[in-house]
Amino acid sequence: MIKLHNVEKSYEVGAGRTWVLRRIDLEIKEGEFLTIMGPSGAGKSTLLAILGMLDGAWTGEYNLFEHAVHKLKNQQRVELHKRYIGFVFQQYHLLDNLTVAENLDLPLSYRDLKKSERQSTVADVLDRFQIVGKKDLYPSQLSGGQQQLVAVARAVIGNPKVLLADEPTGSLHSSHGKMIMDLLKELNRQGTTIIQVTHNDAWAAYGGRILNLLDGWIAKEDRPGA
Amino acid sequence: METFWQDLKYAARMLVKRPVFTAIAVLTLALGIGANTAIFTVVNAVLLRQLPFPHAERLVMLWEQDKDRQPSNTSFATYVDWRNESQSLENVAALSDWSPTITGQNPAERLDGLRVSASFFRILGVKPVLGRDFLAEEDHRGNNRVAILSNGLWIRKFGSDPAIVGKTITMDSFHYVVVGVLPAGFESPFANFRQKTTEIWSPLAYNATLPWACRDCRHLRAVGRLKPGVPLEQARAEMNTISHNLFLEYPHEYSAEGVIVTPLQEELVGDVRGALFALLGAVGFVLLIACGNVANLLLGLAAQRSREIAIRSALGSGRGRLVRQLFTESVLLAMLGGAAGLLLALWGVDFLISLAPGNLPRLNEIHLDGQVLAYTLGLCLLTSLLFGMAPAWQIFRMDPNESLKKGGRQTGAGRRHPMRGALVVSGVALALMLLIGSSLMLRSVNSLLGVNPGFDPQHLLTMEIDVSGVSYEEDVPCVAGPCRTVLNFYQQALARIRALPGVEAAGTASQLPLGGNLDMYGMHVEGKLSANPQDDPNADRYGISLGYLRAMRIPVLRGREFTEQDRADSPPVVLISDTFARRMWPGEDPLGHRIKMGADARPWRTIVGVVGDVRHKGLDAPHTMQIYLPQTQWLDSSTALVVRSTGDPLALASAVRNAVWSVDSNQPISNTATMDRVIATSMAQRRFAMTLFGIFAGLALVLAAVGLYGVLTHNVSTRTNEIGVRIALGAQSGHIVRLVVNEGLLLTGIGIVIGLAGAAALSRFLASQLFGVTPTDAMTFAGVPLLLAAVALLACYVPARRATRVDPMVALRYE
Repeated sequence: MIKLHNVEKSYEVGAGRTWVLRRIDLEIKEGEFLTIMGPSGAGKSTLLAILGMLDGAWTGEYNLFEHAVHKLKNQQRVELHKRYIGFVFQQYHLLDNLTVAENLDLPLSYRDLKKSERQSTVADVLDRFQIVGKKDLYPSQLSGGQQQLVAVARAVIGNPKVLLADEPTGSLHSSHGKMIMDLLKELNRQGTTIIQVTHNDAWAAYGGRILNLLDGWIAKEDRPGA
Repeated sequence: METFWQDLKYAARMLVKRPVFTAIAVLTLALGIGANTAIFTVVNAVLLRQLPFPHAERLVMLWEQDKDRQPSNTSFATYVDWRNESQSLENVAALSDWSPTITGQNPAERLDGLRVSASFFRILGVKPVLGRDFLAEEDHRGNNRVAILSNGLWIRKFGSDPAIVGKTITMDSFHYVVVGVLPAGFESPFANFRQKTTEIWSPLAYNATLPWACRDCRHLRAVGRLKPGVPLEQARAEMNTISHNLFLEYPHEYSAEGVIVTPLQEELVGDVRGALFALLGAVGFVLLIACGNVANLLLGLAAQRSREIAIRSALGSGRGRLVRQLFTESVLLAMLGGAAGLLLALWGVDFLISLAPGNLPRLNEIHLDGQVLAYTLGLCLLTSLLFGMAPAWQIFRMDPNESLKKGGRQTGAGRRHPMRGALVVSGVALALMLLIGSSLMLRSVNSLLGVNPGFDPQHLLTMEIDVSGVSYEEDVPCVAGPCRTVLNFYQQALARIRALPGVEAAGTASQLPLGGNLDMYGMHVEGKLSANPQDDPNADRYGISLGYLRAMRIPVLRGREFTEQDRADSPPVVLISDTFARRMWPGEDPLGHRIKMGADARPWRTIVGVVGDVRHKGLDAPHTMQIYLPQTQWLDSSTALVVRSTGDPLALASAVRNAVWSVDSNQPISNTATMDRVIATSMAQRRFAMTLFGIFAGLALVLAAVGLYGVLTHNVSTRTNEIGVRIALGAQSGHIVRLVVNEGLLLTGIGIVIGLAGAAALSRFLASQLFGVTPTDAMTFAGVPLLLAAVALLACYVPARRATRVDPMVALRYE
């Protein structure tokens, strides 16, 4: 489903160059649950951003299904992103001035869907995530775990093929963290490809494969269940 | 005191540390304060500053009240009665326009002067610096060949000759002894009919036996001085009683009773008062918008400085102290803005004077003075209070703990300050009100330009000729019959002008339409004599030569124009205007009917033609009734020459002047101008107000747009994280642009709604400045908001484009 070949990213610093990612070759199969680990500055979040097409300044080849992302223009990448990708952030990034229901509606509103269709989808997701009672609350009225739950719901509302989660439990208490990880596992079981970044070994073990990055290089690959 | 200096030091350091912020804030305030100072300088000089005479508040103008309750000139007989019978007035002087031609000081020059009662300067409280005032005995015929010079004329014409008093000068071929020179600062408050200030005075020397001293010979103005302690109302009541008695005694000489007594200062500025106060209001709006913008800048800054303020608070600074610190900064900023504004005002006042119509009263008194400086200082303090309040209020609402925890950064989705939106809304609303006012005035001037003056002003050259001197029977008024020498002069001059190449037609008239002269007579219509003289109609009188109607292209609608057969000794004839005909003979043919002007002794004149109406008092004034007399039957010594050219009329000016001087080189020619210029001058005051309103409205629009831009830019920067999230969730450039633009347009929309309501309420105060457009003109009220919205859209678009360039990765790491 995802194939990266020789993907590299760097910045010019003065006369030299700082590498963020070096010669990344990676294949991710549909339905996989991949964990990316590594110390700070290893390039984990950058790799996630490239996979999510939020970062366009890199070299190499990136194929997503039949699409050669590296050949696409920015507008085409945005379209592809909307079609295949969902994002969950460590800081939840819910919009403070929108209610839970409005936050869920946001990605749908960027997909030119009819309002009735959007309302129906939002209602389904609220029900599926058991947050119907919270739909009119603002993010500041929710706990951290509840906020991340809404953030995951918002990430999957567009039925993405791939869910990218950047330290989804990083800001949560462990009990809330487990709830979120169980949710991701369940989504994966239902067919969504999950790619997460985490520092937590226990959460990393939810993945079928663990990729370790170091200074931009793929240092090691583990398969916990193997 | 020490803490004050400390606050001031911190404030100065804060401003120096943020040079861009300081520059923008100072420039914004300078524009607002500078515009206000400049306009206040004009208002102060024209409306507020007392006239430069001792106890000027006791000086009053006295007018007869006509049947339309309008002020009218008075006659010598009435003036004498007022002077003799009034107990409220210390004294009354009469004055009459006088335009002598001075010779012997080459070239001959027509001067602007007044003939005045001997008491005139004593009433004003002015004493000559050289020589003496007029003596009572010099106010009698035979003793009146004396003159007092203005300081300017003394310098210009006589080289400041210290021995000028006692010397003889020649004017209109008569010898006058100079008896005095007025002080340098004296400016006559009485413009003559040519709207020029006077520079030479001679005694009026009327007596009751003179034909032009009759009770209905109304060509004099009167100025008086109230006795000390007498209130204006008492004088008004007394003068009305005197007038009532005169009206009963001479029912045929007065069309109405009543005397209009107006303070001299009010009289001088009557026409421009409304326009100047409207302009002062307009610049007030500009200043408010500027204050709003600076308040917005300070709010933005306060948000950035919340950590600093929290630390100060944590270190024990009370809120009062913090607020004082902020106000010190505001006052310092306002003072800097005020200083820059004062510099702008210095230039602005010169600009205003250059732009002002020549007939703006007290124009030469406009300058910055202590009062203006005090006003500017007051403005600075007021503005610092206005724009300093917003950040002070924010401090009262701030939670220092929260600020310290956040490290001074904004929270995720960009918390926006509602006051900033409110300030933008008010700026938009104020700008809209000014724009609507300005557009209404622009449409008024456009409407005026579309008014048909009744003649074709293009390719017309005009100039004034004043025939005078013993050879032209000076002192014998030509109203009694033809003055052959004067007539010969005009006829010869016209013949030579018509022979010039490039001249299509030429003629003369006693006055030019729209030229500012008023020569109006009560009319008696044969067969329609009114039982009461109050019902007699008035008409403007034109004494015209052959060729005048053709030169002006005034159409003859019925009957004929004058011919060479209309001589001095032939039956008196008259042409009347279309309005005259329709008003006096509705549905009838007026030809052959007879009318008479003024006094019973004057002859009946047969109407031989009806001509088109011309606008006389102004393009915005309604049509008046008009009559035309042949020059051969009523000759004026002063006349306006009109020459229709085939090309550029000004190119003919020199040849035309030479043609006149080839008949008599001693006759001064003045006020050479194209008719287009004459019309433009008649609209000058309206154009002045319109231009200034336009400038201030433009300034307001720019400031409002900058305010909107500033707030949206700030909002975009505080919403970076939110925008990043939206992009990560699939938002495209269009979505982000709409997000920002919609916010700006919402603020603009609210501002427009409030502004429309405000404009509807305030525009009626502009009604006196409008013509051909109502104060709530639908097109203006619909079109101007669209213009404002378009500018706002532009102001929104730049920050919106910036928002689309937000890198989601950077934005999401922001926290």
